[in-house]
Formats: sequence, structure tokens, C-alpha cells
Amino acid sequence: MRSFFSSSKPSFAAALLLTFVVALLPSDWMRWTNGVWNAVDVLVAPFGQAATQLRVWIRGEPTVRVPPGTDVHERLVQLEEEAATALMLHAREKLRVKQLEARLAELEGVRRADPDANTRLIAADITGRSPLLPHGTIDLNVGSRLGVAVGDVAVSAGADLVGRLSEVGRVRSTLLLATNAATGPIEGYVLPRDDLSAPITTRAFIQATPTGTGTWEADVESVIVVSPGDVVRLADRRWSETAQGLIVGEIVSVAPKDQQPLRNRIIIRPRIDARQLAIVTVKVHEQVGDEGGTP
Amino acid sequence: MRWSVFIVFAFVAFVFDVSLAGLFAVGRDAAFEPSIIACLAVFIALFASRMSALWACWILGMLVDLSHGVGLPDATTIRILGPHALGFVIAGYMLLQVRTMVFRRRALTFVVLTFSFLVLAHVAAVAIAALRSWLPGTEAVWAGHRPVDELFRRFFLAAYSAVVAFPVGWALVRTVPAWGFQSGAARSANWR
Repeated sequence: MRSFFSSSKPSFAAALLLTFVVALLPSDWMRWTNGVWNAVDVLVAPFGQAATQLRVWIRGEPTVRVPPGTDVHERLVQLEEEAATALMLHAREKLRVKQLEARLAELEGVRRADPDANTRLIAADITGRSPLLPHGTIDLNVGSRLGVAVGDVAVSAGADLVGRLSEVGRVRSTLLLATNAATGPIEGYVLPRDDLSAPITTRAFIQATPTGTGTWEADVESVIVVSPGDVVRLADRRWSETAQGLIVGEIVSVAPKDQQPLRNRIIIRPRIDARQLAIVTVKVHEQVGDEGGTP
Repeated sequence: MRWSVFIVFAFVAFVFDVSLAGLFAVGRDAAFEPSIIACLAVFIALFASRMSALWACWILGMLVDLSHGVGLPDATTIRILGPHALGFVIAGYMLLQVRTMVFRRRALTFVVLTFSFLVLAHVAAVAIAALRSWLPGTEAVWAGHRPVDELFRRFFLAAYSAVVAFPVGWALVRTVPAWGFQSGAARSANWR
């Protein structure tokens, strides 16, 4: 045997050629290979079985129990899919609960700030905003079907003014931010931050003009003491009744005007960045006799 | 080379590959198992005479072919003989060309050559299987994925086998006297 394997180059070449031909034979012509395997397996099987048992003994039995006749791989794939689905549903419900909690807190805050029974509160999700104009518009998922109308105001955190509905469809609407220059000047009055219940008559009425950069500017008599941190509340008849008294923003700077020494220029900034919100509350004023309640 | 010794070692390596190799399976879904038969082929190709080495590679490759059943549409299986037999011969021939240029007694040599051997053998085997799948009346050896994907998977298999080749090579070199190799390198073989 040694001489055959050591010097039989023609035999080896023939074996290679034959192997190549066999490798390309049609499948139906290859069934005889099962006989070859059976012959080899007779020798290997006893040792292979013992080795397999040794492997199972060392590594342990598979822990997954499947019904008879079920393909194990298929069952594992199925279980993985079920687990992934359950985790996805769990995550979705957690997110839903969080959203509902935030919406409830928002509505409670607005109701505490405005206990008027004639004001209906509608929680609205923000579905989009103008990406190129940070102080432009935002889209809401409420429309005329829920009773909102152009001019209704949207608030956040109880009493902070966000903006006014500028376009209302059946199931969606567009909110023009109060800081948008197109909103125009807003009339209001200043309250000290440490005495929000001070009489209005003692405070300064102002007309704040949007700067287009997310703030307003206004002039006040220099004899009236205003300071950074004071709050500006809306008092403008051009806005709906439900908007009156809402917080426009807080004063962030007070500086004398060079051209008018008897007046100061104040800068007002909203207390809440509308671009960071996920939901707002639309306040709908209803006449007596209309149906009330939240959807 | 004593062929009786070869038969015993081939048998042990084959039994290990078809039953015990799962103990050392790694990767996702335990997809990668080391090939002891390939380590044995490399060992023989390093120390045996040329024709003995080629015949041994052919036989070991044929054993690998026999161990893989290929399913047919009628729910039966066949063994496609040839792809690995030819692949092992091609890879063994490559080793015969370079074995005079390497330090056969170095552990690193055994590791690198096992990796090279398996990569070449798998490329040849996958190429033959792909060629076969283009012919009428034949079944794809690796149904369900492309030959490139199969090659990619086998690349990692070759890398893992090369790692395992270090202890296996050490053990095989201990047995050199029993093999009756004729070359001077074999007579002075000593693992470093």
C-alpha cells in the first residue's frame, strides 16, 4: 500500500479526474453515495454515539422543550420572534402610559390655572414644526371635529401662552407661536415675580412686539419699577377671552433707552421653549349651552 | 508514512469532527466548530512524502464530503463527493510548495498553515459547489444562501480551526515517530 500511495501519480491523477466528474454529476445519479456513507457510518457510529453522549454530558441537555415533530430551529426562531414582539409591546405601552401621565398633568395644570367651567380643554399632540423657522408654526393633531377654531389659544404648564391657532382643518390644525413676528404686538401687564397677586392697577401696562428671535421687546416708563424675573400676563382684547391673564413670559433684561431717557427698554422671553414641547393644551371657550368636557 | 497509523488518526479525527467538535462550538448559534481533520491534513502535508500527502488530503477531504448530507426536493439526502476532496488536495499541494520555506517545527507555522490550508480548501470547495449548482439536475450544496456568504462564514471557521491547531499540532508532533515519515525534517521534528 505504501508503494501505491507513494509513487502512483497516474492513479492519483485519475482519481482527481474521477472526483471532479463525480462532483458535477446530477443529484439523481449520486444516490449511491448514501451506500458509501452507510459503510463508513457502520464503523463510525458506535464511537460517534459515545462521543456525542460525552459531549451532552459535558455541555448539558438542551433546556428548550418542544412538542414532538417540531423543528427545533424553527421553534427557537418562533420564540425569539414572540419575545421581541412582547418586548416591543411592553416598550410601547410604557411610552403610552408616560404620554398619558404627561397629558393628564398638563390638563390638571391648565384647569387649576383656569377653573372657568365654560372653558373646554383639549390636549393636542404636536405632530410637526417648521424646521427652518424655529419660531414659526407647529402642527397639532386636533381639528374642527373636536371643536377647535381659529383663534383658540394653546397653553402649556398650566398658564403659559404658546400661541394661537391660525389654521384649522377637520383633524389637524396649525398653531402660530406667540413669539412669531406675524402675531403682532401683544398687550399685557407686568407683575412682580414675588407678588403675582398684586393689584393690576399698580402695575405697568405694556405693548410687547415680537423680535422674531423668540423674544418680545417693550418700553415702560422709567418711574415704574420693573426688574428681570417679573412676569408679563396677557391683557389684549384681540385675543380670545380664554387667553386673558395667561403668562406671556418673564422679563429677562431692563435697560434705559438712549433716545428717551425717561423710558426703559425691556426684553421678555417665554418661560417655556415651545420647540421642546410634545403636547399642548388648546383652550376652547364655549358659550353657555354648548357641550363641555374633554374628548 | 505508515498508512495504518493514518487510518487510526483519520478515524479519531473524523469521529471528533462529527460528534465532539460541538463541545468547542463558538459564535452565534454555535456556528463555528474547529476542524481537526484539517489539522491532521496540514500535519501530514508538512511531514509526509509528496504523493502520500496528496493521497491523505484526498481521503480526508472525501471523509468531509461524506459527512455532509445534502437534501433533495423529494426529502431524501445524498452525499456530494468531490468538493472538499478536491479542495483538500489543492490546499495540500499549496502546502507542499511552501513547506521547504517554513520552519515546520514552529507552533506559529502550524497555526498559519492551517488557516491558509482551510481558506484555500474552502474557496475551492465552494467554487466547485457553485459550479455544480449551475448545472442542470443538480442541487445547491448550501441551499438558502449565496456562495459568497458561505465563504465568509468559512473564513471564520478557518480562523477558529487555526487557533485550535496550536494544541492539536503540539499533540500531533509528539506522534511523529509513530508515523514513519521519511523526510529529515520529520526525523528531527520537535515542537517549539
